[in-house]
Amino acid sequence: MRIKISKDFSSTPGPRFIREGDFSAELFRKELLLPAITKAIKDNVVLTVDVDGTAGYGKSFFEESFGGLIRDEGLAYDGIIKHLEVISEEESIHKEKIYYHLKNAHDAGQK
Amino acid sequence: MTQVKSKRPRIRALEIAFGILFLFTGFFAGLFTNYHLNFKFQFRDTIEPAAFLSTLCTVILAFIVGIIWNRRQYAENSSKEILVKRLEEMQEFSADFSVRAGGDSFFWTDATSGIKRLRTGLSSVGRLADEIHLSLENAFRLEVDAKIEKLDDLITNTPAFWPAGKPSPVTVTNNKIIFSKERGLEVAMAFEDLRHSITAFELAINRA
Repeated sequence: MRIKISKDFSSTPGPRFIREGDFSAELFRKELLLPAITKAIKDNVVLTVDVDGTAGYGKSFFEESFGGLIRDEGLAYDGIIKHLEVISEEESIHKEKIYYHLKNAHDAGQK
Repeated sequence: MTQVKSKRPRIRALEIAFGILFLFTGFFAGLFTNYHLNFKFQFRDTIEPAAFLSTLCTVILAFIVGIIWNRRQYAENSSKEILVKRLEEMQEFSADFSVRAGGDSFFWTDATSGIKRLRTGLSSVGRLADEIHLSLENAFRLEVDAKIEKLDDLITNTPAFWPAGKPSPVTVTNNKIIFSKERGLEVAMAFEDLRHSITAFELAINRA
């Protein structure tokens, strides 16, 4: 399974919430990421998310979309980590950030 | 604009030193072949073929080595000029970006694409420096990178939760970013810091 954000969602990803503007992280999570990762976990396959090819991301985009999987959608951290692969060649920092936000949301939920 | 320091004066000084050395060598060789002057040490007045060929080979070799060395110096200087030019472009872009961030219509995509352009620009300079084996302290590159991160944080890190009744430092409405007065000042300072770090990086490339 594969999601290429620039092709499947938007080449200009937007702000955090739907109410803030177009192509938000919340919209991405609800319409693409959540159904895809849920299916990947259920089918025990890996979901590859390719974040390259866009005009750029805001810091809150990955926090809301990936961190929100745990914080707002109630998915388990271990299940996501086991079934997620991130491709980020253009800005390698995005890959680190995505795993950081997942861990952070998991740790915050533990408290 | 910062200019790349030229190594030509150093090469010219070497050329002059070699010229003086050869002049003195010729002068003393002339003296020691004038036998009527009766110096204690004198050159033979016949040319020994082996010694002559050996000298000729040394001179040709020195000439070839000189040419190769000059070419390498030229290539290195050109590469440095390209790197400095890329950083100059980053400087100009960050100045323009700063004006847009301080304006009334600063859109989300302007912010994210601007940050990406700065980040990929820096990454490209780093790769080029590695490719030409430029001995640069990594600290300069890391500092610029840290300043871009800070800017990104100030501009696009909108809070997930914010206490009701308290003004948020950054809000987004209809894809447009609005900073609080304090955050606006912080952003302006962060741009200044970034430009300062880019200048330090340029100077480090010049010194390398």
